[in-house]
Amino acid sequence: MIPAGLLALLPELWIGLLFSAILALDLRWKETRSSTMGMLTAVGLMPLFPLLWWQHSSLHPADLLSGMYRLDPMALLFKGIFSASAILVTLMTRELGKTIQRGHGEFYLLLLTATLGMFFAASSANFIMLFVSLELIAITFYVLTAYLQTDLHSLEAGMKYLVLGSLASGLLLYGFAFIYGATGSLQFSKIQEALSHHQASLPVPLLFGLLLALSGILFKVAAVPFQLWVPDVYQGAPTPVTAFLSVGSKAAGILVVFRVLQELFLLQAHQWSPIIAWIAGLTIAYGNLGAIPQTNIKRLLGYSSIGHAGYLLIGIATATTLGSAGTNFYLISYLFTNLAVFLVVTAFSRQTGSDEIRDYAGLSKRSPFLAAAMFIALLSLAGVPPLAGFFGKFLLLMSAVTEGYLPLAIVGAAAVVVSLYYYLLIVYTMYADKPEDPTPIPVSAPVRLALLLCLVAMLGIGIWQGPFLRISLAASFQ
Amino acid sequence: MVAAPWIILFAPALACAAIVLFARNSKPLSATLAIGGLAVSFSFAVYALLQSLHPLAETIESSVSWVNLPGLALEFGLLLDHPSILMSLVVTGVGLMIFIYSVGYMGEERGLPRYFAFLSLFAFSMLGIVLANNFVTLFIFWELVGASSYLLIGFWYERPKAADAGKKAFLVNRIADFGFLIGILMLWNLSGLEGQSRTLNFAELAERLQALVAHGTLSPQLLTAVGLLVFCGVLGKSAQFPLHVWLPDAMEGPTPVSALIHAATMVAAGVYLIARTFFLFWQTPEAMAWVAAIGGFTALFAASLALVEDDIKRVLAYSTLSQLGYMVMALGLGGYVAGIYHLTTHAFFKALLFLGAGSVIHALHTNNIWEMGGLLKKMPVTSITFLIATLALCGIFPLSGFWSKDEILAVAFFRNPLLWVVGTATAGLTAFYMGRVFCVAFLGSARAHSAGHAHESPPVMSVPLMLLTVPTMVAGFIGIPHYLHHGQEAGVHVPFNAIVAGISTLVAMAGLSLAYAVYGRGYQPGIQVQRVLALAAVPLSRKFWVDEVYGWINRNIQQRFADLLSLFERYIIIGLYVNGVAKITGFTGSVLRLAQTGKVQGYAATLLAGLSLLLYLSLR
Repeated sequence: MIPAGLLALLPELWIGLLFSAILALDLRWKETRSSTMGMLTAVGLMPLFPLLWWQHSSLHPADLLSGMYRLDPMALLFKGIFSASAILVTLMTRELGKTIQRGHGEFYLLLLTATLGMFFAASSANFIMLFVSLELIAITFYVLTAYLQTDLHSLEAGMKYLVLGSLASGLLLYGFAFIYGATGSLQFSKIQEALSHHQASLPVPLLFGLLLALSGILFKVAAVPFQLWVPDVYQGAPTPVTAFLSVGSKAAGILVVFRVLQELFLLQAHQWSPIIAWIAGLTIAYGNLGAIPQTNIKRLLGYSSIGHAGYLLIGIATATTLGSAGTNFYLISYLFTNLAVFLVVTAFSRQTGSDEIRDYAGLSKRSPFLAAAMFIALLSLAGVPPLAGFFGKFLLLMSAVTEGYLPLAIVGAAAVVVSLYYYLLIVYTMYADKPEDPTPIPVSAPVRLALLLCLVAMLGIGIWQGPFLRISLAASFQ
Repeated sequence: MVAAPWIILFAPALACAAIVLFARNSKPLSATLAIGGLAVSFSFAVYALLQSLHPLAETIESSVSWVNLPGLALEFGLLLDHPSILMSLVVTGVGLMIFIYSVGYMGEERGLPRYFAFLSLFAFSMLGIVLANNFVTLFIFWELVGASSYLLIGFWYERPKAADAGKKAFLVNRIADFGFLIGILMLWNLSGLEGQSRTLNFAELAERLQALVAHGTLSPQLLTAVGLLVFCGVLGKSAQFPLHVWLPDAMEGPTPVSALIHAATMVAAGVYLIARTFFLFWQTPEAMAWVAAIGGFTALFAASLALVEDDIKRVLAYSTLSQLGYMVMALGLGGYVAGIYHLTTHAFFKALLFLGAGSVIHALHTNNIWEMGGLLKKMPVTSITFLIATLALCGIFPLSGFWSKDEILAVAFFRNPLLWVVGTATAGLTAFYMGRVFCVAFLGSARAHSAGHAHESPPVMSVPLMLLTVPTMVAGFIGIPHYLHHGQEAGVHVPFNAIVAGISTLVAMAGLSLAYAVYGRGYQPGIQVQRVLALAAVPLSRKFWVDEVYGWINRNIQQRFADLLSLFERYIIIGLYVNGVAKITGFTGSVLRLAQTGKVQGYAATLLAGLSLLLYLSLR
């Protein structure tokens, strides 16, 4: 008889195993075989999906490891999102082999470490466990951001991220401490129990703690007013790291917001819901307006990812099942859409070494496939039907309207128009402008395959929302 | 077998996808894929037919949930009952003949793979309409039919006339579909009137409407309005007056496409829609009266236009209009079985007529009947099959058209004698114009050089002709009305009526004889009569100025209004709103940019300031 705890931990154990295997290979193999190593990492991550599916269908939600770790549908959904983004990011890294001068093996190891951190964060049922997992993610990302040791931008980005991130971690810990002090426990279930005595309104120390902890998490989500690091870090970090930050790290942040607000503080929703709604509205406005004058695609995507964080927060602000399901759905579609954009950016910069939007001129002639994929992905990001991004936005705006946040919904809808403007400017550059250098851009088979998968997902999720909506509903708090 | 409808529907879609993906440059492969895909559909339709003949056979309905939100549940579902089985057989069977024929007719075309991809898409869309079990699914395929017909009519897009004809068909249908869509939305609302969750499923809607009418919750006027709005869709697709104008122009497409549009797909969709939503029309006699009147009028109107047309395909196009009018009239009079029966038999002989005309056009490279003549000896297979189809269309015993047309006239005879007169007169006109075409094009001596050197078409074209002759001749004897009658409570059914049949046969014989006398024997009526006829021919050859009226409306009303709106758009919308908003957003964007100083100390300070503000506002 295998203990249930072991079965629940199988995905984490698998990542650990993969980590050891890559580590051993890294010691034995020469740098030149790094491309094979990247492939091994990507393929090695794939068994996570059947594993997670099996857990979903045969394991009961449970608290394990003396209540530190737990398994529930939400954790499983987010682990799926983390795995998918890890695989796609690994493929991007493999593509950018020559930009990373040394230490390919370690790079993959760091990606795996961050993934492991995300997995544990998804399953945390205790503030200590949660904090340690979040730090595992954060510290790994500091290293990853500064990985290009000869590139000043990368070093600067890493430094900024480290300083500001530490500040955020401090706030987070401070907030947790206040909550601990007021409730006398670090265990989610116990805190929930203690909080049920404060339905009408929270005492000041608890509210203070909640807001501090929230600030620390919203930093990861990149919501206003904790978003200033994003453009610099996104631009400076190696592209795969930027992609991972924009999807994996953001999803982890959203997950923790879910855990803290909708699980622990659900009874006090009337107190935090307007705050989150304000933050969501401001974040949407900031991200989308700030994206307009950008000339660097990674920086532009940084701003647009701030905007998307705002949309994700709408579902949390409504504090309803439909809203949370909307956020989950949005995240699933955002995963494929945003990573498709980053795949194109990666393939493009591998050949040209540039991330400037004006260099995308005439991409439709240099690589019709890349241009078309970028076009569709940008439309989906903006939320044009029938693509996946549309339905997510639709759900979120609908939930905002039904919960009485009409101004928020209007901001969200207006921002779609703004986002179409700057997204379509890229499309215009790709299709209407003449390329300076007409050499075709080759696309490697794995990237082509990954892009095709993303495109199918964008169209598939957009047209056949049923199954994805069911998953999103199952993983949201009832 | 639940999978049958899905296979029937998706085989052509897969063929289309396969052609686009793998056979873009291969003519034989694309033809094989298209024909193969439709053949699979056809065999499963035959299978479904055999299954449904079993006395204990049940209707197959299979659907998957598509959108599932609180208050908005949509399904994508298929229904395989007797009418849909019959129609899928017609679509796939006749379609298969046309596909095979196309190999010969279109063989020289460079864009053959594109052609076959579009044909498969067309068949897929039409099968979707036939098999849909709810309005949403039906409407999706309804629009797909519109889109694929646009692609096919405008297949020779480098010819301006063909491109325009495609556009015209699409636009006219869009106008009609607008009404149809409003009708669907109204039904969606009505379905929830008694507090149930709303639905657009045909079977559920039928029950709901019956209950609503029985409880008196629903005003008859509203129901009539809904019926007429749904009928709007029929007006467009089945080209009923006043939206008939696209159909004759659609002759610019390749002839097999015309055959497909006129016999098995597109125009049949409208008539089929009335049959599918018969539960709705049956509840509202006022709407039914309109349907019958428009059908009858279109029948007579279009038949008269066919009298003076010299283009063989256009004669057939008007004949289709007129026959569709018959079917619509039958359904409007409550003759559910009669309407679908005629739809079925008409599909056979009209496809045969078009393919025969195509065979002639292929050999002679002209559409004008006055440049043909004497083809009976040179193209015997085409001529004989064309003659059989002509007689079937005229309703001559014992061909299929006789039985179905008689069923319609019998219904009219008992329900509305005026429409019976209209129908019988139409039968006479039909016999006359078809007799004219046959006498001028096939009898006598060659009227042009090319007609003198015509040769019979290759077997790939003549064999489908011969195969289509079989159902044209025997479809009256295989019990189609009985099959359709099964499980259909609504509608009126009238037994065979010898008097009606006798009168219509006599009228048809008279029309044929007159045509033979004038065009076969060269009989000249007196000067006086000729003068009257010449006067009468003017409005006919100008098609009663319908296109001109539409053109006038377009130029003088719509265009003026559009100019006004354009001014509004240029100065108010673009000048004030768009550019104004763009300037403001652009300005805000560049201000926000100033916050991004790049200094990490500044960022940290902002972060803490934001936090302090947040704390202050919340803890105040």
